[in-house]
Amino acid sequence: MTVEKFKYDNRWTRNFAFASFLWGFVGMLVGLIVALQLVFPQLNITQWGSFGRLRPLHTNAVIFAFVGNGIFMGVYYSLQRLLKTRMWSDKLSAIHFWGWQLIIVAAAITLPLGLSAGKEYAELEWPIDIAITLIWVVFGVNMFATILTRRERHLYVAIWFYIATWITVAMLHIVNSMELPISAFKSYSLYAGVQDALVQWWYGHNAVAFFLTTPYLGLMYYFLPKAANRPVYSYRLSIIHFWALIFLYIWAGPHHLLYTALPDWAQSLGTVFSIMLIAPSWGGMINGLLTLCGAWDKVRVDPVLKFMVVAVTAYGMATFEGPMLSIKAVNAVSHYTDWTIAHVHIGALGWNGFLTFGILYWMIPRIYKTNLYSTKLANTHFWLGTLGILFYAVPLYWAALTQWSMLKQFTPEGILKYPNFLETIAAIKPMYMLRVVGGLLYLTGTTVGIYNLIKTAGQGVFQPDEDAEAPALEKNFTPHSSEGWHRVIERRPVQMLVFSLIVVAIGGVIEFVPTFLIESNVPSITSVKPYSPLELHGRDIYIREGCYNCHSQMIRPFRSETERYGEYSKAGEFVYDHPFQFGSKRTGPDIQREGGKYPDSWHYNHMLEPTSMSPGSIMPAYPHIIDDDLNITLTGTKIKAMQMLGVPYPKGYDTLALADLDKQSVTIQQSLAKDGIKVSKKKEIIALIAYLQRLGKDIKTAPKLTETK
Amino acid sequence: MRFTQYTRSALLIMFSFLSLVSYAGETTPAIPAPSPASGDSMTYVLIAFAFMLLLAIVVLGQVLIRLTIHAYQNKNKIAKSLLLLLMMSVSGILFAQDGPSAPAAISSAAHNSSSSFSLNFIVAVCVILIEIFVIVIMLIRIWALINTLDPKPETKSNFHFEFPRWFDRFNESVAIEHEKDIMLDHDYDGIKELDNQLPPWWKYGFILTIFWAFGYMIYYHVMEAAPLSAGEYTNEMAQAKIAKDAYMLTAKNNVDENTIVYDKSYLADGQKIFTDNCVACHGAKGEGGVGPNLTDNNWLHGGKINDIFKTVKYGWPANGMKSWQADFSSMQIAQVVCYVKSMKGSNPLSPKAPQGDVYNDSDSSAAASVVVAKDSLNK
Repeated sequence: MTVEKFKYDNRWTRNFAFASFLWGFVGMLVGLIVALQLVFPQLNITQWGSFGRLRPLHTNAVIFAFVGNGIFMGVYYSLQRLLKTRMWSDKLSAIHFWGWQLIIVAAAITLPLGLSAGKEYAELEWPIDIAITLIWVVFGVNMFATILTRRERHLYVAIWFYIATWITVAMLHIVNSMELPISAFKSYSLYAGVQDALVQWWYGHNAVAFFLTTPYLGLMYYFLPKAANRPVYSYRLSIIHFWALIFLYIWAGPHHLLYTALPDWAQSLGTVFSIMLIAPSWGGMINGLLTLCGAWDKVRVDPVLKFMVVAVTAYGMATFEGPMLSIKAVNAVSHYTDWTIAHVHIGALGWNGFLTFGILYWMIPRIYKTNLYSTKLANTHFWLGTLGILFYAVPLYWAALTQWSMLKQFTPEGILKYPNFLETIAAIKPMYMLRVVGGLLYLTGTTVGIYNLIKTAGQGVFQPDEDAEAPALEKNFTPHSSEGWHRVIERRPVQMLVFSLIVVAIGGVIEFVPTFLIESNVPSITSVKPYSPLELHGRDIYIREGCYNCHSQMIRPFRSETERYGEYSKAGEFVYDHPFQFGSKRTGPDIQREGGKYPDSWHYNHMLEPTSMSPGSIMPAYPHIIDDDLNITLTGTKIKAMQMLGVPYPKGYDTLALADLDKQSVTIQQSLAKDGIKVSKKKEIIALIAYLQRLGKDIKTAPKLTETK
Repeated sequence: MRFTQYTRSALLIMFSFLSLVSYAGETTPAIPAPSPASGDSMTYVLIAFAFMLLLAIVVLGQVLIRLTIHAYQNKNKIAKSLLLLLMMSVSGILFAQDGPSAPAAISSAAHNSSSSFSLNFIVAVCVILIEIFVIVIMLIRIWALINTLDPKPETKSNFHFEFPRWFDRFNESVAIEHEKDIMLDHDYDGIKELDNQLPPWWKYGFILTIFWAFGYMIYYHVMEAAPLSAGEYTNEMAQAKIAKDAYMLTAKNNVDENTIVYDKSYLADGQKIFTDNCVACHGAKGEGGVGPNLTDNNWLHGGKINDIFKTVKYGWPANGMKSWQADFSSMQIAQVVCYVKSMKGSNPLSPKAPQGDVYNDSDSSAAASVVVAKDSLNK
């Protein structure tokens, strides 16, 4: 057996590490800004800095830039060492790194510009979607080629997670990003309404699962035993919880759509699969925490382990809370309120944030051949971060419960006690302020951490190529006669990839196919008609401004919602919505039945200055919608695109659309003029009003004047 | 050292107590009955929570004092007495902070108005957050003190935290001394793997959730034993109707568009409703804006008090007037209608041009009988 000498590549690991914490800082800073905007709406400065456009920037930056680079950093470091080989191609590593950073920059430019596909966590427009796909393939090729040229016969559990992550994210991204481009930066989702929602939350839920969870579990399986210098607690637990986790996770997407117009059977699947997920999720936590048995005295003094223990505990808490939130009665409270926001931040700040920094504190000194610059600063970071999480989450839990209990209250006469939604916002504003304090604490901790890491790098000497040696794999391998069944697949990475794909595809297929094919799942309503050209333009403005970040268009079948917003939403009402705009959080009221509720002039004044019509409103003002002319050059293209997607406009309507658009504009212009508002019919506001006045009207019955005698 | 062991177990109990309390704090308000008082019951829960935390602080304070004495007994006595003094003053401040604020919150909660609701809430939450902060500080301090009592924690000294035996048995894990027996021959970059059993509670818990899942699907979708979303909604609305009808049978303030009569005593309440809800469209003095002028003689949908009641109650959605019957009780609608009626002829600044037909009051019930010439209202 000859021992081969080779070098590990630390260059791209280092680059990903620095990208991770620098983008992390940016992402959290934007988070802090949007949190402040909820308390001080005047901080919505210019259209490019308004909440609806910055909030997607925050979520995308934290998920794909901070955690994304964190994944690649950890994978590039651990993969080489677990397989005893260098990354297959330095060139692919470079393309992967720079490609990913370019995508982030493109996102950071396009999202504030309002170039958005209008689906949460998948806002990036089609050219960037294609770039993501290509770079993801580059990553996959580099990773897989490394696996195939390994000097270690069996794949360690961390690598199972990496493989499952790669294949599932590829599947999720491609299926959810199916869209029809109509211009360089505008596209319409291929799916509509309830079906689009199902696909989107299958994606959204599993972005959490396979971008924020499984790769980080893989990282935990490498870095935690390394840092603690302890054997992994249970190999068989690894096997069971890995396969159970990836199989069950995919199904749980519909728990984001409980009590919506999604068919009941799909909602129930979301609930039961979420409950079944508790144990597989906790399998990871148990394997992490019990690995520390015999190393608890180290946890007390080593900041790396401290970070990891809190990360794993936060993971356990969030993955227990998640299934609880999937129980319909609990979901009724948490959905649309700040509970969900608190929940995801336990995961993001605790699990992803703390694990990333635990890894960084362990890894950076090693690739710089030095010690951590300051353990004391690391401890400071730890406490600031922990307090930050607490101060972030607790106020939001209270905010959610307060708002929910207010929204639910009726007087004995059977009318809402707080009919004005803004009353509930006023009540929870102080909680929003406390949340800002929590975020600030956490961000301060992050800054301390970055300083510490940069100082560490400064005092060491970077090792771009690290010497290593290992025997080559022998051609002839005879397995132990006593080996377990799972050992076989651990030697066969391609089979593992294929099995993973099969396992994760099942849930999606079983939920999608009936919803798309069986008509009774989306009963059609004859009175529901396609949007007029002007309304379609208005809808695109709605998407551009990210209104869905604060307003839902989905009234649940509760008395407190139908009394407040009108008849509850039916699946058939959304059949022409490419993309759907259900929303997932109500910082403002639901507006699915906004049409006809207020006069046109109300909307005009409200967009110009929301507080003029709704005193105390925290909505940003939209003066640019009133100033800017509507771009109607794409009108025909939009109609044609919709026809391709199956919206039944008459044949050749794309040529007539402009005339109809003009006619409707004039009507709205005249109705505004009647209330003393003079405005050109060419302005964007006309289109937006047309859309808002159309919302939810198709199934509205005539006012019940017949009741009066 | 026996003493520190006691402290450690006390700390552990404290932690579990805290988590229990915070759990209780989160879940209890999730099931209040939708009675008018449930907003305030939230506050009561908060206050209870604050008191529980206070209790925790007191207990922790005692631990801290004893530990401090213990840690400094061999050193000079000045440091000891100074620290004690400091400790006392800290807890004194805490009591001073909690004492007045909590009863204040309770007393104002009794007033049952929406503004005091949020104030109580803020006060209570602030108190709780301060308490949590203090607890965290105390825990850090206690932890540090324990460390000083164990001078060399890195070396194998008397500090050695391990899960107790029952924990191993609970998980069916092999004790550390015997872990060689279950060490697999795996070695990945130095990472070894044990082959511990699946923890039985985990395994059976998993199986239980699978059974539960099948049970849930069968219960709702095969047996159809309980209503789904739409059915739940029908039930909820039916129950609400029963409750409302029962209330209305006994209620005195049951007024509708047929029975309304002008009542001066309604004006103050009516004005408040008008200011909060109507001025955006009808102007602060009813002079009109987005909506029509309410002070002139002209009415789009009838100026008789019964007609105005109908307009407010059912709305004219096509013209931009929404229906308010979901927002206000019939009594409140009566109040605001009387207030609108009283505005006639008030001659506000910059009135909107008259719309609709002229209506002159012939019924004596209307007090605002000042008839103003139609022209005088035009600019």
